[in-house]
Amino acid sequence: MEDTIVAIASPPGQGAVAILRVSGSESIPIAKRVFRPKNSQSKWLPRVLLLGTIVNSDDETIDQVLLSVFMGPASYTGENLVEITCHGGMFVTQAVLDTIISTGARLADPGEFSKRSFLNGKMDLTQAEAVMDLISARTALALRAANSQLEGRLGNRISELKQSLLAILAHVEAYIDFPEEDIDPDANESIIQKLIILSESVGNLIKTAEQGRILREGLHVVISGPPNAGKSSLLNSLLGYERAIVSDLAGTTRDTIEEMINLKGIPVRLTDTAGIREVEELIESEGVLRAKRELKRADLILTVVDATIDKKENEKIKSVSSDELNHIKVFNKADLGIHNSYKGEEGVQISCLEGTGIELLVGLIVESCLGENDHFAKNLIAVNSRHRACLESAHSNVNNAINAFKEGVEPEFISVDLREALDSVGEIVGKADVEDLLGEIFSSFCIGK
Amino acid sequence: MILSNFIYPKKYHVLVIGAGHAGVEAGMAAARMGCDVAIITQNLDTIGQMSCNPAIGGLGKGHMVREIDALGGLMGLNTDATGIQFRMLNASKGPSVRAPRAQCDKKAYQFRIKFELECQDGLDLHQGNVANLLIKNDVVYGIRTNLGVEYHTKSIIISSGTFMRGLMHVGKQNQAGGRMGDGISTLSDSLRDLGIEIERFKTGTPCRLNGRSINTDLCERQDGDEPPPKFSFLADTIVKDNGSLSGSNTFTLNNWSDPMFHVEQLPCWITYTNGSTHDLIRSNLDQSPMHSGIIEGVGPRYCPSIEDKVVRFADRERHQVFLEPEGRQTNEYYVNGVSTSLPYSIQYEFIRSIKGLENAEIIRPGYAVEYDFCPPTQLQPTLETKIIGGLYFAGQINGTSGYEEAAAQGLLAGANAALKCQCKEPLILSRSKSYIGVMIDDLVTRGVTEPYRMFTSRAEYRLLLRQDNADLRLTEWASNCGLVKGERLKRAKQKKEDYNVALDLAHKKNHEGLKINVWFRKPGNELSKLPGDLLSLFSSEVWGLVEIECKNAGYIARQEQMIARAENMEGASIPDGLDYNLINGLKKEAVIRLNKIKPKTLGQASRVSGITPADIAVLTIWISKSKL
Repeated sequence: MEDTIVAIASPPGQGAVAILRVSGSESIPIAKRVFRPKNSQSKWLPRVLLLGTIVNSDDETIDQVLLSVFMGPASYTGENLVEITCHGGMFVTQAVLDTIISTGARLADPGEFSKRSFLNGKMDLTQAEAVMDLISARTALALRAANSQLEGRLGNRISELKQSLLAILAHVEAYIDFPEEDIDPDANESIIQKLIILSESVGNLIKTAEQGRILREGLHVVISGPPNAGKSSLLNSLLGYERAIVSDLAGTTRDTIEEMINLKGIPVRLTDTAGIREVEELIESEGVLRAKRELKRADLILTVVDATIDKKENEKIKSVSSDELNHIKVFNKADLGIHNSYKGEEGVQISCLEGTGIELLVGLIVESCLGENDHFAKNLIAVNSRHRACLESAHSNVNNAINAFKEGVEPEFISVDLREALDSVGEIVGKADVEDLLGEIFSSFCIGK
Repeated sequence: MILSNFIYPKKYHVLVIGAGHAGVEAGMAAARMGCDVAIITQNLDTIGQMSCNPAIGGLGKGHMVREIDALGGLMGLNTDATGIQFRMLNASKGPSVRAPRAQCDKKAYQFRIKFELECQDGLDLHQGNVANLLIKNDVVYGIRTNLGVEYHTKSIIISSGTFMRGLMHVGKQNQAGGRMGDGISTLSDSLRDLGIEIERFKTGTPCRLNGRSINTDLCERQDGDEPPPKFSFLADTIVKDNGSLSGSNTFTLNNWSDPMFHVEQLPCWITYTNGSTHDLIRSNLDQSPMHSGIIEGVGPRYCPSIEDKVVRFADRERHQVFLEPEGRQTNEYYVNGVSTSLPYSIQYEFIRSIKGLENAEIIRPGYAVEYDFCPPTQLQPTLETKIIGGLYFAGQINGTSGYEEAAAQGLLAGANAALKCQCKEPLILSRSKSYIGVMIDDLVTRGVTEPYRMFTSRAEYRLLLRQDNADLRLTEWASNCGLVKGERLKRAKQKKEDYNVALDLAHKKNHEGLKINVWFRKPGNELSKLPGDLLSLFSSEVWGLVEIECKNAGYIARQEQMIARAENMEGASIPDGLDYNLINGLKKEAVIRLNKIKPKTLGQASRVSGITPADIAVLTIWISKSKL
């Protein structure tokens, strides 16, 4: 019984589209859970392209995609396989991947698709050595990448989690295995407290996975505002601010323009919602919906206005904005003077033409990412999809254990949850085996009848 | 080299060296399977001797005794027949971690075992000290004793306990011997010459007291459970003057007379060490061979000496001491919890500092013993050595500790030696089916760093490996190779059949508006609340199994899924004699480790320490390629 695996099949980096593959017995059920065909009557026929959207567990659309199903053995791996083509761009691809993982697939090990393909007779003998080499080479690379991510804070934090889980499990196991020793049987309350703290720590780490994403994907900054306020000029000014452009991804996602820039070391994904104005009358049009979605996902919104025009005039023009989110008001064309109606309003005065105020704005953007969010500043850590999936599994197992303790479930059942949690954390920082557990027991408890 | 002056005329299939708990099970198993067997021991009067604590069972260990019993072994029945106090440990916890434990009458236990051996068809006992193994072309053909007697055999099982180069310490005095009062064996020299690696472990035992000198008024009393829990699935065959499967008139202390198991139970007593005990020990540590560096062998962490406890857990105000009777016809008490190698004089003082023991008379001192063992990664999962054909090891020679661990290995080594003689497939227990399987896999795959003892935490499928279903798990399965037959097999089959019918009924029949299996899951619902007409359909034993299965269905299913996931790997065999150097893409470290362990399956390979999933992926492809 092979489990179901998923991986991004297209080369790393930025492309117009990205391809994900899901393989294994559960691949089609998983696809059915995350994919909403545009035409609900569409049949899931093999080798037929379906258009639709990927939705997350809250039924929010992540991306419009093309999906095709291949039934084993007539597939690359010889198993049932689903191929999903989504829009390229690290954020979207990552989000689709995370959704599939949270629906029950496991991130494939290096070379695992090729391995399955070979084992299922989809490759001839001569390719075996190549697959073996591929596995070892990719494993070495993946290991190096994982190690570099785990250096420092993140690694320490997760190792600490592992250690506290091990200590708790050791207590439970000692209580089970050494009934004739003086082991406090009424320690449940204190164990529950420890588990609650642990659950919070894991929860926080998962949250920082979001912030880790900012480092990986970039701070998502959306420029919005009425037409002719100078949004595109601002985009260009910011692009020109520093030469060090992270990548040349001029990934045009239909109505929005996206650029990746590096502002004082923080990668920033800059989106210009230029497309919105052309369709502003058609409130329900696809473009506006997309822009709204873009704004919803934004980490920061730059609301640009033409400072020479009366505030009332500017507000007459419908534009898509959101005020509950983190945003900075930008008064453009400040070289031409600021209209009186803006007196007393907070914001940055700039002139894209003369380049004034840009330095200040960049400072504010970076500060909004680092300064305001103290927690993030302290936890500059990146957690990739695998880590995140592991942490989420650990989180839910720890919570199960807490509930089981509260319900008075016998210790050997609770141990199953704790062991799974420990295993998940171990996936990241190295598994704890029975010897580690026994070591913990014998160093914490005086066993010796 | 001792010269041969007599070749024993009878040729054996299986010859067992040592008649401790491993040796007797090995010999009996092979004999039951129809082999001609000899057991050779230095001293026929110490067959089945409990050299340390006269107790059988406990967590993990009690589970294994039930498994030994399910596989037709001696230990369960013999404990039931000669136990003097029985308890079910963890009765308040879940069903999978409950285990029986018994204090035994030490002398009755060993005499009864000896008599069972004497009554067994196909089994001969010989007293002698083995000096050499006789080997030709890397295959055994016999042994020679230090009197020059040769016994020829197809296979040899060594279960030498602590006797190989045993060295006992009491303070800075030491003397050669595997147990106080006995000698040593030099067999390990012979093994080393054959290329077997030898290492050293240490274990220890506390002093024994005369019970008349114990003031039990100052101790807490610990009684056995009523009714006494049993170890054997055939406990009800133990009737007065006929407690033996062989049908002989083996004596028994306890007996079954419907519907009760009659045991006259003796209490144990609990007392505690105190500050002055600890001070005394602390101020005399320089006289301890452990703490002054004389002892080189590694001792078990779970059974530390009292010196260790005082040093490592310095903040503890007291340590428990259990006073356990060694038998019905003796006043000797075992002082559990204060194993020591301090000088006699210090033992005398610290024992008398303990409440209730102020006037205690030590009748045997505690001591530490160092001994040779052979790292068990040199063995195949059948317990046959990898380098010498027909040579098997079982018990402490494999770096384990405990009577139960030894007995289980003996049973499996005996069965496998017999199967090999009969040119049949070996008997290998899986980790998902038994504690014995867990232990043997741990030993041969990962080796040992301290004397190995079973804990339930070692079993990843613990919830399924209960003491109450050992017969369902193993008996019928083991009958395929002839290890179990007759009444035991008949009963296990019947029980399984009843169980399946009962479980099916529980899924179909309603009670209080719910299917019975669902009804069981509601808190507060239990077997005794089912109506009598339902209960009368099956035995309480069978209903008990059904109740556990239904109540814990979710967790049980989870573990069964884990097993199903692992099955691909466990079932994928690796060709014998595979040279891992040939496999491109394997890390050098993996090549070295795999060449040493020579795993039989991908599952076993994945448990070799240091082997990564990527190594297994590469190996999987290589094997499948070589099959094409």
